[in-house]
Amino acid sequence: MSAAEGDPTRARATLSLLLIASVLIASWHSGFELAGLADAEASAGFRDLLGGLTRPDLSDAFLTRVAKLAVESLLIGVLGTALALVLAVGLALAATELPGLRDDPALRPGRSTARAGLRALARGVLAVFRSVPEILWAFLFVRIVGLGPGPAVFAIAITFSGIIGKLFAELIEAADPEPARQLRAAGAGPVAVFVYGVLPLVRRQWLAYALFRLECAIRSASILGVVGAGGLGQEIELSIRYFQYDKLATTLAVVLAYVIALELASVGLRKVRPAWSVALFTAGALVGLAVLPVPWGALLEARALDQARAFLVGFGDPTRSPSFLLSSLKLALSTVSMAWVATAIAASLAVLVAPLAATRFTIGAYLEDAPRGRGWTRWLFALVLVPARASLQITRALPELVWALLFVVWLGPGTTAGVLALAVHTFGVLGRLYGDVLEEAEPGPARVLEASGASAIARYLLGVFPQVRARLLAFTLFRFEVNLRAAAMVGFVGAGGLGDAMHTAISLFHMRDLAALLLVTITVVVAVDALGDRARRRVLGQRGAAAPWNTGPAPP
Amino acid sequence: MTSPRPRTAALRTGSALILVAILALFGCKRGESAERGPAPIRVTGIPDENPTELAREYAPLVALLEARLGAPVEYVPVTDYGAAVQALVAGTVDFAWLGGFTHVQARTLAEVEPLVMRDIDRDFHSVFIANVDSGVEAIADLKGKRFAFGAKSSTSGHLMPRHFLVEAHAIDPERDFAGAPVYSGAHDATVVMVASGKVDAGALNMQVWERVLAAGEVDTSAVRVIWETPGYVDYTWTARSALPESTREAFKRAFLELDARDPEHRAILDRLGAKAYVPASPRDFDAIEAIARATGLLESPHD
Repeated sequence: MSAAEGDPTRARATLSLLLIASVLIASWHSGFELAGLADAEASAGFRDLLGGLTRPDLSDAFLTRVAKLAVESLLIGVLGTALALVLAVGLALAATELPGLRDDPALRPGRSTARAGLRALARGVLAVFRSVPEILWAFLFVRIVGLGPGPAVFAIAITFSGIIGKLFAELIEAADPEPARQLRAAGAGPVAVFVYGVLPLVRRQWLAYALFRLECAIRSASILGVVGAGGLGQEIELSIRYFQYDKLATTLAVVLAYVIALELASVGLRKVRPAWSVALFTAGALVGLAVLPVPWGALLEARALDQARAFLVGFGDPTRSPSFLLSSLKLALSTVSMAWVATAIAASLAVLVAPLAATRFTIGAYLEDAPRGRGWTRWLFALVLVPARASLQITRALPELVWALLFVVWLGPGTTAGVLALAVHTFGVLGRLYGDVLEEAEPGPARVLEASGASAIARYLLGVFPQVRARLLAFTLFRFEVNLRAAAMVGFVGAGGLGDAMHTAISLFHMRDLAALLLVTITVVVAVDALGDRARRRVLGQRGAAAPWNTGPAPP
Repeated sequence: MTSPRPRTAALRTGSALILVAILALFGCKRGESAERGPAPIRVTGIPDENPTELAREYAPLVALLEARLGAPVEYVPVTDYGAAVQALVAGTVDFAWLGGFTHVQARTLAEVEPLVMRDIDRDFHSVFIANVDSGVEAIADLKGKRFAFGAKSSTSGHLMPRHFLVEAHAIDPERDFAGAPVYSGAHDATVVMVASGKVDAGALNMQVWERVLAAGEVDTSAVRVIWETPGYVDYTWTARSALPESTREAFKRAFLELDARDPEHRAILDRLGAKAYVPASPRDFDAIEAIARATGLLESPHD
């Protein structure tokens, strides 16, 4: 902190003002307004929703159906991740120079250029795979191979191979080059160098990250079906389109249970040997392979290739008219604004609620023998703690797309629905993360304050908050990057931004427009990722902390 | 890193086992499909109404076609209009019930031909409806109101209403409404949106409107019709041109020979709002194509 020239407090104040101003500008720019929340039509929408949600469809036939769909979603996520891992390892290897194999003097110049070309290509593929929203992949695959869980499996495989492959490649490059160098000196070939010189160094991290992403993929699989790709998502989309809110209530409850069960399972599995997770993962993937009707053959048929070509042809000649590019740019800015405003709203609410949900701040105290609250104060703590935790749990469990569908019903289509959807989900995610960070804070300063009789609020503001501020900010920035991708997704269900425009372009077969929109999306996502990496490094002041999952609890 | 050899061997055995397992799985699936009889004929249609209604409409058609074509017929449901076009263009289905606009999309993407249409499709109309509390009594009142089209690729729910708004009423849907127009996704969904007041007005397919009226699915005290468009040509059964001539002819005859005097046929026709089927020709859709290009909804992939 002291490195900054001049008064650090003043610099911080200026920064905070700039942040607030940027949020205000972004919220004006994205067309976000809360005025519509309570007007007559919106209340009608809300009443309809609530009316249905309070009388869920509990008929045996429907419950059986939804249970089957939940299993289908689970298998989609597992099988999709298994495929993603295969792709990710291949792409990561193609995208990196193995340490110790650098500048191989034996390579002729032609071959080393070819290798550099291959690396650049693999990096490009990784960037495209992870930047294009998975719902768009699902939509395209529904077009190519038809309705059913297959498209969702492919969509998850592609998106997650981009995300996982990027990190795998970074880990390879960060690995200690010495073992690889020695193996090469002893005459080992590239395969042996990788298997014995690199893999043992990165294996643990690869595995941890793959399992973390598996959880994300299973969550994502619960909703990808909104475009007709099977699982719970398809059911949610149908019941919303036809105003069957009683069925919606049941499906939402199942999604909630699904995500909570997933979290419990993942917490449990983290306590036992990783081999258990790997065994379950492998078994799940095999069952998925055997049970899910995934049309593998259709992918390789000539007509699927034809369609892939029809899609790619747009990229050869994307729409370049200035008016279209200008409007895409505006949409891109509005999408960034949506993510920014949503993250800001979520962060400011989460900062308030997270301490309420943390045991230490409500029931416990920092002193070992602190006087406990007596009588009604204890009840008061429980009254605060339980709803705070429940609100974080529910908002986090339902994916952004589900919130978007609900807000579109409530408020009608538009960016406001999108911003609220992102904000509500992010509130749950950040609240949980903030809570974990707060619980891990050094108790020393707070203890001192408590011993000198400071109030709970003063203990939090002066004793705890200053310690964790940087990490909270880093998590928040990371979430903004995640939200940018999500902001491009929610448009597919009518919640504004680039997704809306992409949906129109696909619906109308305007493949050149779609290509232009995708290029804009990819550019923005990659640019924000790069900026985010830098910003996080500055905030945390160390390189190793660039990715939040290295420093703390895995961000859901 | 003690003894690399046994580990490599284990790796090899492991991957071989996995490979065998995968091949076995594929083998099973291949075996199942080989046991089936003649290749089924696959049909689809644009999802312009809710899935329950669609299933109700297609079930008797599938039965009719199976009887007349002597082959199993399979209805392939889709969730968006573009998917129906794509399925036909890619050959994953053989016949598709398309709207005027989706038919034109298909013919710019591949070799397809229109076969038959309902008598009502030669002179089809859209209706504009408004919520009675919205204060909208005529098309001119739509300025500054919230408006819903159906699906983005719908002819009677989007293309033609948009065309008539611009040409006959000088209303630009992108500028003159309160905010951008909303796309409900389907004709019956538009009715629900207008009736609930989620939008002030909307446009939809005349025949669906008459059906929901007849079925009492709309509260007539909440919604009123404000305008009916002039006639235009809409829906058609479209076939891939690559299909054998005999299959296409048999399919066409199956529909042309539907006779309203036969009670069984009558039931099918009634459900589809038609009295008879008539032949369709490519020229029937030239006007739609011109309108689609003029509104910018149709973009040829080759220009």
